[in-house]
Amino acid sequence: MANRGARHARTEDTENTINYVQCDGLAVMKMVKHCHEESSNMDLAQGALLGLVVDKCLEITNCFPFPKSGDETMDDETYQLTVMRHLRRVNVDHLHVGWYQSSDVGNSLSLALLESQYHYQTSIEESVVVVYDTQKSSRGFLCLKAYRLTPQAIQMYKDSDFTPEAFRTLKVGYESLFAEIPIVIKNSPLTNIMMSELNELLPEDKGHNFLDLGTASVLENHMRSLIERVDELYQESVRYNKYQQVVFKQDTEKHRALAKLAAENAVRTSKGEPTVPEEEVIKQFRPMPVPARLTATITSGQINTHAQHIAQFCSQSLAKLFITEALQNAKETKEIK
Amino acid sequence: MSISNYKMHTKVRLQPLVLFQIISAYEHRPKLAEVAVGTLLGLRDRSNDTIEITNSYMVIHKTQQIGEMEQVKLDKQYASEMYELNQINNPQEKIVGWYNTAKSLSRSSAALHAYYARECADAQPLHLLVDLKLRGGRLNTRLYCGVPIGVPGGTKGLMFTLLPLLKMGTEIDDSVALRVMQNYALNPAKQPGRILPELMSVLEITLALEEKLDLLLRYIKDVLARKRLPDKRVGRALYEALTSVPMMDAESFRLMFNTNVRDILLSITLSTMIKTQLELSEKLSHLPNH
Repeated sequence: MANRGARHARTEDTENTINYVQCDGLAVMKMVKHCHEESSNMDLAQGALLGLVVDKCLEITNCFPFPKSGDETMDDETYQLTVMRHLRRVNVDHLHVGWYQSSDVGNSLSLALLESQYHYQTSIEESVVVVYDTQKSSRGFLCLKAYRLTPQAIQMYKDSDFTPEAFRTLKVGYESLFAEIPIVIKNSPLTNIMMSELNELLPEDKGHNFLDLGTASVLENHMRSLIERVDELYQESVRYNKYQQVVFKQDTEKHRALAKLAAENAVRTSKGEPTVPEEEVIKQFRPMPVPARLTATITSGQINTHAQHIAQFCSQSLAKLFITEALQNAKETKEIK
Repeated sequence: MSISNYKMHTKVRLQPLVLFQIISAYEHRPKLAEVAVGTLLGLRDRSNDTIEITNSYMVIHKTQQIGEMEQVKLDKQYASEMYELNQINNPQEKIVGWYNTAKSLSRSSAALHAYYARECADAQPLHLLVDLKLRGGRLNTRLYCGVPIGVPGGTKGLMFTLLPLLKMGTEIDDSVALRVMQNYALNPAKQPGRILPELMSVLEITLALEEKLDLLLRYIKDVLARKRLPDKRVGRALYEALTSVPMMDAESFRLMFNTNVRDILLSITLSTMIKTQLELSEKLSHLPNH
């Protein structure tokens, strides 16, 4: 996945160049189809986004799926180039502007995603990753989100320095690894006409499943993965605490040894013997390897998105419950009459 | 071409994605081209009872004027290459026919149909005609199949027969995305195309529901006041809707309601607490040294 980015001239400015993503209905439908198909056999769907950059807006006008891994007939690079060459001949925008991926229960912002997006953004400055949440969408909420790495995150990954100091100096936190970019869906007038005619063909009760009151399973899933992530974070922090304890212990020992050495040296100088340099002692204490904080930060980010999802989900469930309460109240007053 | 093995009771389902693709192909057609032509891909079940059109791709074509007859030439190499590329990801999708965005069938349709009949090998191709010139202010989507006519052993011809196009075959995910986009299509005044947060979509649908209830109430009042003739079908539908509401006594409803609300409030508290904890720990770890 590392070298999936198409090569073309990299623009010089490194600041965030994209304000929002405008997505064509066609691309949305294609992504939904592909992700839905793959999610039914529990696979991760991935594909490339095609489009162009207009001012501060990234337009996604088309997309195509990546072949499933394990297919050896054609390697990824040639496949992508062939598809893009073919689409170019029918006047589809052939600029590679990012990639998409399916996810469930919102834990998409993983290390793998960060790595691939890093390679994308370093080869194509404007590229985004679009994440489509299959589980939430099948509950009736269309969930498409576009992310980009922040400049700090890129800098950090470039230096591949994940020590706490690096995080501190670059001011990278779990919220500033990825920047979410608002997505806008836009359709051509002709598509809009088609859509209003589709309205007549589409069964009335389809696509409104978010009024479903059975929310327990979704909430349960969310909670379960939230708990898992919190566990992971806990382990990370235990590791970090252990490191701190060891460092502290080492420091005190070092201090003691140095003090001892200073006393001995004082005796030696009074006797007129040569002194032992301090480096000798310091050499005995090898500096401990600093645990990388990247996993912890990413896990924090995942926990954060989970918490947000849960809060959103709960607020709409509350709304639905109160609607049913109103209905029930109306029924009861009727019965009393 | 052998005799038509297309059965008249075959059901054809069209996925909305294909219409999106056709419109996009039409909008991206070359400068001089009048129409867009392409291949329809889909699934046939073994007994040929249902055909689902799931995908399509545009094929480059040239229009040649030979005498007074127009001839459409497809780039066959391009078509087969596209098919092979699609096979990599969707090996189950086979060629089921072709589409054209012309306003009506033409002489060249027969030639193209013959080509696709060869491509489909064992089954009759379908022909989807989408009139994107919008004659009559509508997007006329028509589906044809070819029926060979003529004297056995003598001259043979091809007759296009109109087929009923069945409802859209949509998955849940598709229809969710469609609903969202339809909202934008029907209310262009709104802020363009933002995906609404969940609570907002519940609010919106509630408002829409209220409107529908108002409409219904007006109808019922009109019928009761004998201003309007009652309709049996509406009555039946109303009765069905009313009986589908589960009966629940006040007490068990309270119990259900309260447990749910408590669960949800607890989850909200938990998630907010975790978030605060995260923020706190980050603030602490980002404190400057001494």
